[in-house]
Amino acid sequence: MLPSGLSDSIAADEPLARFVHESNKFNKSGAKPGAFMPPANGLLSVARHPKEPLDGLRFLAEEFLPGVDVYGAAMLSAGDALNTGLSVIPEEPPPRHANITGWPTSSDPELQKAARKEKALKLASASEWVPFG
Amino acid sequence: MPATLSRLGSALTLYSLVAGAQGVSPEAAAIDKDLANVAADRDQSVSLSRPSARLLSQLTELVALTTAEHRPSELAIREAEFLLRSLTPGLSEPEITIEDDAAIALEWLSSRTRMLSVSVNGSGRLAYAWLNGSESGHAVARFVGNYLPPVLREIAWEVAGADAAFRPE
Repeated sequence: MLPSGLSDSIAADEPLARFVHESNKFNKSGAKPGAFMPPANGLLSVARHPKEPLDGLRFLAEEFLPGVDVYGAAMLSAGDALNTGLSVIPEEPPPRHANITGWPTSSDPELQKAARKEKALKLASASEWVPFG
Repeated sequence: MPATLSRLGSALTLYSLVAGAQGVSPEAAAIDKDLANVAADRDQSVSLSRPSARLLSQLTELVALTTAEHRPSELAIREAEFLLRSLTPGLSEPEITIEDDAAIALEWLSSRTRMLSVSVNGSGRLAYAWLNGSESGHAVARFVGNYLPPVLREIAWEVAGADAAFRPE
């Protein structure tokens, strides 16, 4: 059991939120692939929270990204990441935080980026956009 | 030249002859009207084949708005400009994004299940990935600055082709 009270294992049907705070990471139809490209450390940060209640999601966004305006959350399930060949690993604090890991690596930087991009496309395709308005 | 364009060229030649005629029959007037529509469609399509000034200026604006940490290199900017100029006529216009690693992404996000993302970083190698329904893939294509690599052009057509008349044969 984690400090937040959540289980230290994540079920496939558990909802995850990827907070989006950059305007170039989404458009009118939802989160763009760039919202799911991992940073250099290969840890794509997500929150273990459903899309409702929205206030709870907003609260977590402030916990994760203090002082940053967040445009919305791209919602997906842990299963979406697992089906893409990725893993979801809980890591607290902050509460309810997890990382999507297992991104492909290659000695060829362009090929590594292309492989990661394909997975980001799949996650973007599976996601549902929840604007914070 | 694709057969469609060849037929279009003949039709436009005929139209140029008919357009200036006086006292023509109703049939000729109908042909006149049809060919005028063809000419209008041609003009609209040809405008897609030219480098999009709007896209090029959008790229310039995006770069100017990007913080120094993420600003693309001059080489990447030039490469992205060449890539924009090499886009096949009839393709939908891509969205342009500056990525976190300072690469420039051209993205065709036709729907939630049809996407193509191409990254340009000035290396002469394009990292790209695509999704088309249940199919997907990724690869790296060499870009020499004159034309869209054939394999990438084919994928772009599958994902973002907007005008079948211009599809390369």
